[in-house]
Amino acid sequence: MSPFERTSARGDETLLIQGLRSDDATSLAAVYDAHAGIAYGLALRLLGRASEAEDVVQESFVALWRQAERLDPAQSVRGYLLRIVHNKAVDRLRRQGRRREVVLEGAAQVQSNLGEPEVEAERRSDRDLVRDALATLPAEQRQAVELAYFGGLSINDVATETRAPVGTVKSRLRLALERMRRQLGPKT
Amino acid sequence: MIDRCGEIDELLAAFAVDAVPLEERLGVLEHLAECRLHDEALAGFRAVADLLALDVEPVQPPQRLRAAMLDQITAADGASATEAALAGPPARQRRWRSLFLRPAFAYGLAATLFVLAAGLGAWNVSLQSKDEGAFVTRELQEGDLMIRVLYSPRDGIAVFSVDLPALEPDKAYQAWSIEASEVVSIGLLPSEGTVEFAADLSETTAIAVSIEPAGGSVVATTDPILVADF
Repeated sequence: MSPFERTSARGDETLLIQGLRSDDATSLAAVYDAHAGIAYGLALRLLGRASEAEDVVQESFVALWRQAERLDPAQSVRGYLLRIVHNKAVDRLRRQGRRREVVLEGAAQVQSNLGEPEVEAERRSDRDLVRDALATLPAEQRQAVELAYFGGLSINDVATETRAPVGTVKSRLRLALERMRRQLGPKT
Repeated sequence: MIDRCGEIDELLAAFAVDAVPLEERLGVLEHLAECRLHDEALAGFRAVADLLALDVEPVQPPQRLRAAMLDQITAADGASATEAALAGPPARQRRWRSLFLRPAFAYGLAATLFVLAAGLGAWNVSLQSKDEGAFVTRELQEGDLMIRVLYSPRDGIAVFSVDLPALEPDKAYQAWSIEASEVVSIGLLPSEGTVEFAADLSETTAIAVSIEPAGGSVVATTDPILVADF
């Protein structure tokens, strides 16, 4: 199964989404237990400050709760959550007018948010596939993705950083994402 | 519309990874709200963007965060928290509620604007709104005052495009979300230009703007100068 196929909700996740839509707080707690580690890891990587990452994660779970009626039961709650986290973290960076140094590898001091062994293995497998896909991108495309997604930079800032025209940055991002899409699986 | 499609296509991947600058983002959102030709491509880019997060090592957040998050959503749904949210300058908040939270908001805007007009004088009100798929747009114009709001529930983004008279340095425009049980600050607005907020407007019934002390207020301290049904 490709990572894309796992972005569709599985049976248990569908139940969680139904629970969220029914205002069942235990469902939100279950979503938190399953995905808080990756959500916090993403916020921390973008923001670099634990207190801010905590704020963003809390805001994101509350937003997920409040937007539950709009969740598509056929989609992964993880993807939806991480999109909220990314958007809120980037928004915070830009409002503060600061940027985070891009860390190409995972944080040095991490404590894995271990879940059930099967889920954890699946997560690691997906992570490896994504890392492989990133690693096989041409250097300038990978740099554009790293700066834009993990650095929270706008295309104008990426252009300045890489001394490339903005149009070139747009093309690099598009080509990178198209290539990763082909590599990671057929279902998008 | 079609003549911008090529330009929008070039920006879609950047848009999916939140890399389109604010000044261009509004245009992209507006185009996407009306043009269905990009839906499939955007969904594909978003699917990849969602997976990029998996490159991150999970990090266990502090234990207190789980309890704080659950407390927040439990409190937000509870009557006591609602009353607490409406505490503070009670007269003002209750008056705002009475202005905006009329049971029959079906009359909504007309009734609200009638009330406002009584206090604010005669306004030439023109309201346009549009709901297109994943986006909500609202435009409110009263005389020379103009605010456009474009909201993407999926992204939790609200973009305000503002054209308001300049204020004294000690004053600021502040936008508010009027919800069923509370009035929540969205943020400070410039007098002119575009500003983007990470905002959850899923329970918003109206948006209002008031003039507050520079730096903003926790609760509104003046009557709204603009209001839009949401």
